[in-house]
Amino acid sequence: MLIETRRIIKTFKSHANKGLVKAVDDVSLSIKPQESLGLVGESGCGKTTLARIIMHLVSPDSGEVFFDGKVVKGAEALRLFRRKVRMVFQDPFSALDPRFTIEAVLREALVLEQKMTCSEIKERMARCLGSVGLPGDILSRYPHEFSGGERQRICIARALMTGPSLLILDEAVSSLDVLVQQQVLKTIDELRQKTGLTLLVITHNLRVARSLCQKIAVMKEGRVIEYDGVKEVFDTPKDPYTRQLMKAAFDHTLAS
Amino acid sequence: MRSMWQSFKENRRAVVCLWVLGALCVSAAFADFLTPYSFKDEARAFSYCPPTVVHIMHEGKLSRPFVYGQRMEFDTYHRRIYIEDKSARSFIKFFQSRLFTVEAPGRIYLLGADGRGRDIFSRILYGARVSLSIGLIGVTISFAIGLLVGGIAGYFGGRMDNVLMRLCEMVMMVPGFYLLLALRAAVPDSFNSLQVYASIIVILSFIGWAGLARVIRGMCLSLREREYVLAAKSMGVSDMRIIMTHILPHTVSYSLAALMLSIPGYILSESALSLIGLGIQDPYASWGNMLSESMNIVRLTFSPWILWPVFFIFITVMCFNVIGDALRDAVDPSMDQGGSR
Ligand SMILES: Nc1ncnc2c1ncn2[C@@H]1O[C@H](COP(=O)(O)OP(=O)(O)OP(=O)(O)O)[C@@H](O)[C@H]1O
Ligand SMILES: [Mg+2]
Repeated sequence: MLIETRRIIKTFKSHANKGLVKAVDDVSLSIKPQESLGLVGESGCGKTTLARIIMHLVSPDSGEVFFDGKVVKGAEALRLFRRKVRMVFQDPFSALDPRFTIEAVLREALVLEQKMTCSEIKERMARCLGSVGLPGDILSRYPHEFSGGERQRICIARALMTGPSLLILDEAVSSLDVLVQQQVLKTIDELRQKTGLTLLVITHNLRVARSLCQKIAVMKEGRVIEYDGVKEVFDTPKDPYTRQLMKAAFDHTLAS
Repeated sequence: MRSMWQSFKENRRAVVCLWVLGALCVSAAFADFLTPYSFKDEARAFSYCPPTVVHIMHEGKLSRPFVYGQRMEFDTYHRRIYIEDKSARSFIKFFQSRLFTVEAPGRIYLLGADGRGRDIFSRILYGARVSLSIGLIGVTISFAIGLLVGGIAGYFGGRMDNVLMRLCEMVMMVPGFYLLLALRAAVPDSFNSLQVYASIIVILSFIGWAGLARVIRGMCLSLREREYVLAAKSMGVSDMRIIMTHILPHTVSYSLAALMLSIPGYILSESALSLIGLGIQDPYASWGNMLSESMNIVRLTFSPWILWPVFFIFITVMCFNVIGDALRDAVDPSMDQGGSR
């Protein structure tokens, strides 16, 4: 298993009803190398929280995250983890510092790399931008000069800078229109086939999950209620909530 | 940053003030050249001599600029008055190691003389060095501390935040001027002028950082929730580096305005301290200690020109305030409130 979560629980204090919100409740998932797992669920079901816990940005109340079969412990292990596991954040508009040029954004991704020469860095930047279909001459521009879709691709390029083995995509395409969505999805799929990238695709869109993933986990109110191969989930959904989700996703009466 | 500067430039008043301050700073820097006398050049015979008139007409004929000699007399109330002595002329010499001087035995007092016959104009320019530099250096130090403490408290939150903010409150709780006096009292008597100067800067910075730290902390609390901060963290960027590159730069437009608005406080505190004799010591000049002579009301009525430093303090404080206000208005919200959508 490349990454595995075991019985993760995370609660937040909620100011609204003076109680506790169980954002992630007893979640155990695992992803094999070169496999893609789709994490689906409605808004507020704890997907982002789980991703942040996997990224070691938020510490869980209980439970463990294993990377390559080991708990990430100590500074050295964390450095390796940070180089090998990268995340694309939900909001392309706030995931890039408005004061950073694209070059600074991409260079920042390399903080943990060993010393690289300038030409190596330049070449790596051009390669990563190229792999998401962006020209190499945008390095001196600022994020606000780009559209949402372009920004999202810049974020993906940034995540690819260190050659990660696991990429977490948190709603990487949700904020984009359908056409751009298709392009970005295609880009990601190509990357996966070329480099053997492992993906954790977080989305509330079942179609996106179906087009990219081999396995699907459905979350509701912090719990995983369905966790199986794509075919099984789509053909024979066990939980009524999953059926509801699918009905919503593939029901065209509302859309047309 | 560029658009902030541009909208600042549209504020004509602020630009004028910037020029005035620039001129003042340059004059202070070149005081050695621009003044006719050194700050400690005494002439007891000219005690409280009024501003000298520069003449260019002598007995109906045009002449090089010159000043008449001054004859001291006593009026009916036994007050010292100076009368121009038309028989003694002293010509003004230009560009002789100083911009202008006057031939001996005449003396030139553009803004009048103080009790020991020292030139007030010269002392104001030399004093500007002290007063302005204390303001600028003091504010720089306390802003460095304020930004760092506020940044750390806001970014890390939790216990760190708690401890640092209680510290801030302790500093802010004591009224500024009394804290100033108390800290000044702790400075040993044996210090020479330079050490006193340095210790005043340290004291003023110590008092000034807390207010800024609190505001910066508030801004950082919201800035750290931005996804680019999380992204940087997820890529292994160190906390200190995140604070320096992703957090504090976003407070820069606010802090620049706050910086300008707080400089007057430093200048006024130094003046107040020097006025009551606890700051810069005679013979060194500062705008504050030049005013200590004017605490005598009789003196003030007879020789009102010893109030000239007040004018300079006023101009300086006003300029910094106008510039600070203009900067605050010019702050570009799209850069700091989460980027443009
Ligand atoms: N820092 C926090 N403090 C308090 N509550 C939080 C915090 N972060 C998340 N939550 C709560 O945890 C729950 C799950 O949030 P999360 O962001 O993980 O949802 P999500 O599945 O990513 O939703 P979306 O699809 O809208 O992004 C929500 O109810 C949210 O209110
Ligand atoms: Mg989310």
